[in-house]
Amino acid sequence: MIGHKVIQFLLTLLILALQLIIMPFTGGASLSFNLLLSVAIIFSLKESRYESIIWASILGGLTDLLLFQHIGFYGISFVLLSYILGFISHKMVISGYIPFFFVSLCSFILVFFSAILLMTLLEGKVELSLLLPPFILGLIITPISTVIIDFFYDRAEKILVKK
Amino acid sequence: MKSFFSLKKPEGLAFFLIFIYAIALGFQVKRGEHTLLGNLALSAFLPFINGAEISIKTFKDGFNAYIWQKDNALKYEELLKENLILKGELDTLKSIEEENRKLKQLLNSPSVEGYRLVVARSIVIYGTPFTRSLLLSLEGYQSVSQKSPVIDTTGVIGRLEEVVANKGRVLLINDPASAIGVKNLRSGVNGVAIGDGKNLQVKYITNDSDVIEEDIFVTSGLDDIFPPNLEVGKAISVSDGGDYMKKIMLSPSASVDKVDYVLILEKVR
Repeated sequence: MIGHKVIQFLLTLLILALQLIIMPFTGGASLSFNLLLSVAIIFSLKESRYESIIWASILGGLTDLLLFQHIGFYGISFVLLSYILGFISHKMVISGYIPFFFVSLCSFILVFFSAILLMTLLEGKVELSLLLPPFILGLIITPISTVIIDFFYDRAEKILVKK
Repeated sequence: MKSFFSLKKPEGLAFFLIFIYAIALGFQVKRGEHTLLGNLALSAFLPFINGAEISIKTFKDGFNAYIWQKDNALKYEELLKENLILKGELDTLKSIEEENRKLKQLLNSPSVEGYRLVVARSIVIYGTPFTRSLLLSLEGYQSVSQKSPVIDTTGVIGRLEEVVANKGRVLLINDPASAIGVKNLRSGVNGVAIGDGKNLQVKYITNDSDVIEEDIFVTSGLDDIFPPNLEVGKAISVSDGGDYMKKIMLSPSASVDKVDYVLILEKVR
């Protein structure tokens, strides 16, 4: 079990480092290349509800730190997403690349719009027309990145837990 | 029944974390000058703050009004006292002014050769229905002698009968015991004016003498008491008497019933 948590921690660190590396290259499309969201989706579907909510809050806070000056927009969205995914995965089994793809697609939409809604409500200065390209890009990138990360997470778990 | 809001449950934890993030956002996101939480706190506490401000302002205003009223009351009392003092002073000044006026009138009195004028204040006029005397204050005039004539600005008042302890008693000209040598100013007829308690009666003037009503009688100087030519009175009735003498009544020129200040004619030796 300790090995499992270490894998989660290492994965998070790795993805955070990767996100930091790619951020300068993404420019205005930072919202689309959100690898931390992919990690949060994987944890919410694979781990316990309680654990996944804590991870989601950490990852959401990190996303806020990386993307915004105000901490809480993505934090709240990630926690909400994690709760919903945990609730769904508690009722049914979601397994395989295709279900992961669609779940992450829906998750991105949920997180994106909940964050936008919060920003609009609290700051009231969101220009939706500017957010359309990142949104479309995110719809493509997030499911793909989720499937890839899940693949590596599975592999790493199998290798390390066996040892 | 288990509580829904337990941190050990996913729902409770999710709610707690969302709440924490919402609070954090409330501290960070600004709406106007204040953060959202600041605005919320202001909205919540504004009625209390306003109430406290209004209470304090009302109390301060009331206190200031009370102080102002108290000050005004004190000032009013002071002004009342001052007013009373000033009224008193004004009354005193009025009496002094009146006294001054009368003394000025005395200064206009004609000077009489061989006499010096001594001003004296009357104290009281007293007497029975047939005797009339005037009490004078002679403070500071020790040398005033008896039998000195007493006049005012309008005429003869009487003569000083006695001087005791700075007080002088004047026998008024309308006293029955008073007798003054008089002369008709118009015709020069001499007689003696004797008091009858109110007016004077001129005696020893024969029926054929030239005396008519409204004639002015002055002192003749023949009695060795009064100097000549001081006005005594005016004839109010003239009639022939049965004893070959005229019956002439004089009204005193001086107001012998109301005297404030008089002049005593002191003979210069």
